[in-house]
This record gives sequence, C-alpha cells and structure tokens, in this order.
Amino acid sequence: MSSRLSPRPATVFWEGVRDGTPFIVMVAPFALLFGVVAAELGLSLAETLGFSTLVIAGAAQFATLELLDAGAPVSVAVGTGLAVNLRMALYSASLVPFFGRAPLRHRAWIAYALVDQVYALALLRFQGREEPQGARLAYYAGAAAPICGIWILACALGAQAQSTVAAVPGLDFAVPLTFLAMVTPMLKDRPSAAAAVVATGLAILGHELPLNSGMLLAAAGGMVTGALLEGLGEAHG
Amino acid sequence: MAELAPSTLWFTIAALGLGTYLIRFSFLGFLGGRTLPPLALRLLRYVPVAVFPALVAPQVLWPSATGGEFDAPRLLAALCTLLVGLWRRNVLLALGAGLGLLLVLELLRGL
Repeated sequence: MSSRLSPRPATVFWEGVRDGTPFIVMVAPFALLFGVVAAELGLSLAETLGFSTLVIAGAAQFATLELLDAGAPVSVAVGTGLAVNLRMALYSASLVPFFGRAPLRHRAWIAYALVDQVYALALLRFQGREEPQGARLAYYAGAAAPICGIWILACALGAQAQSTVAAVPGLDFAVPLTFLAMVTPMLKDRPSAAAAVVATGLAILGHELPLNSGMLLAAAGGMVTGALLEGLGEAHG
Repeated sequence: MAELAPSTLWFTIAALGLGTYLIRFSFLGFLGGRTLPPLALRLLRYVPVAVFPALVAPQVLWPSATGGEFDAPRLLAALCTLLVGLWRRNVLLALGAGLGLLLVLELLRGL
C-alpha cells in the first residue's frame, strides 16, 4: 500500500484536533450560556447534560427550552427544535461523497458529531483534496473531539457556575461570526458567491416564515443558483 | 419554568435527541455507498455556501441579543468578518477581526 505516501491516521487526527481547538473559544460561551439558562429555568444538572449530549445542537436546544418555558406543548417545542436542525439533513447528504462507503459503525458516530463547526471544517479540508478514507475519518474525529467535547463540558459548567458568564460584551455574536468566517474561504468561484448572495437575500425576505422554513427555502434557493451557474459555465466553455 | 414534570422534560430531551440524530444520520446512514446522480452532487456542493449565509443573515440584521432590534455594531462586525475573510481567506483571522471590532464598539457604547 501507499503508507509511505499518505500520512499516518494518528498524524491526521492531530491535524483535526489542531484545526478544531480554536473553536473552543467560540463554542464555549454559547454552551456556558445554555447551562446558565437551563439552571435558571430549574433544570437539574442531569437534564442539562441530557440536552447537551443527546441533542448536541445549540440553536435547537435554546429554541426548545424557550418554548417549554413559555408553556408551549411538548409537540410544538420538539417540532420547532427539529425544524431548526433540518439543515443537518443537507450536511448529511453532502458528506455522502466522502463517507458514503465507510462502514456503518463509522457513519453512526460521524452522524452523532455532525455539528455546524465540525461539518464546515470537514468540508474545508475535503473539498479539492484527494486523501484515503482512513485519513478523512481520522481528521473528522480529530476536529470533532474538541468541539463536541467543549460543548458538553461547558453546558455542565454553565449549569454549575450560573450567571458569572456572558459578561464579556459581544460574545453572544460569536456563533454567527464563526459561521461567516468559515464560509468566506469557500466563496472562491462565481457559482459559490452567487449561491451565498441568493441565500442571504432569501433568508432576509423569509425570516418571518414559521418553523424556520425561510432559512430552508433560502438554502434551497442558494443551492439551485450555484448548480445552475455551474451548469451554464460548463455549457459556455 | 412553567410547571413541568421531570418525565415530560426527559421525554422532550429524548424525542429531540432521537429526531436530531435521525436527521444527521439520514442520507449518510441510509443512502450508504450508493452513488448519487450528478445533479444531486452538483446541488450538494453548494450546501455550505447556501446554508451558512442563510443562517447568519437574519441574525446579523435582527440579533437575538438585542431582542431582534437592528444593531449597528453587530452589522459592522459581520461586515468586518466577511471582508477580512474574503481578503485573507483565513477563518480565525476573520473571526478575530469581527469579534475584536464588536468588543471595541460595545466598550465604546458603554462610555
């Protein structure tokens, strides 16, 4: 085999850890805040940890908790949380070209760790780079370890420490800025840039649509725009 | 929290957890090694560049921290992150620039 040409999985794993670790700074405040909010609403540490380990999706956890607090029926709270997470079906589909042939036991944990930041790091690495599947699995595991780990840990810390966090101004905005920063290196051709512009416009127009559907329609509009422009580019030469 | 039995809460957590996992597992798990048609592959290439801007845009214009009110420092911080990211193609530099600008603007507002 080409073991001499391709780096060892352990090396690639640590490359993933190296790329994922800085995101601790962005994920931790959001997770701490979830822990604080959950504790203030009367959730036990076990219940807070249940959310952060079983759901492991910040925006959906906040949305569900807020609705429960407001007295909404459980079905509405769960349904809204799931609608917020529906974008992850797109992440799942877009990983098929890279991991579709991996054994089921690998795909099972890949799905568990499929949070926004891990997904974006994986795509930044995999797109336009040929490497064996073992290396991709190792990189994904390395990137997911610090990001998922700090999410769970900081949710618990927030539940214990309560209101001492969230004192640094502007940290509430770290998550949107993270997503923006991660998408910019991907805007390297015309179809990608057009997809981003169309998705932005549609998301603004549709931000009041119920159950997060504006976001999903905007994403679909952006994807169709990118694919159409790519096709036109090919047709013209 | 409105009166809520622990069992109801655990049911909510389990249902949301299971549903979210099935969403994440969906294509990756059930489609498995099947080859996707070229059109699907072409559409899927644009998932990140479509989903992330669609997630971010409403939060930039109507941030939750200000209760959905437009907030100039947050818009400026987002533009700063976008421009630095497009200019240097460096995720952490872009993020640091945006967060740094927002911190400075927030501190100035407090004066």
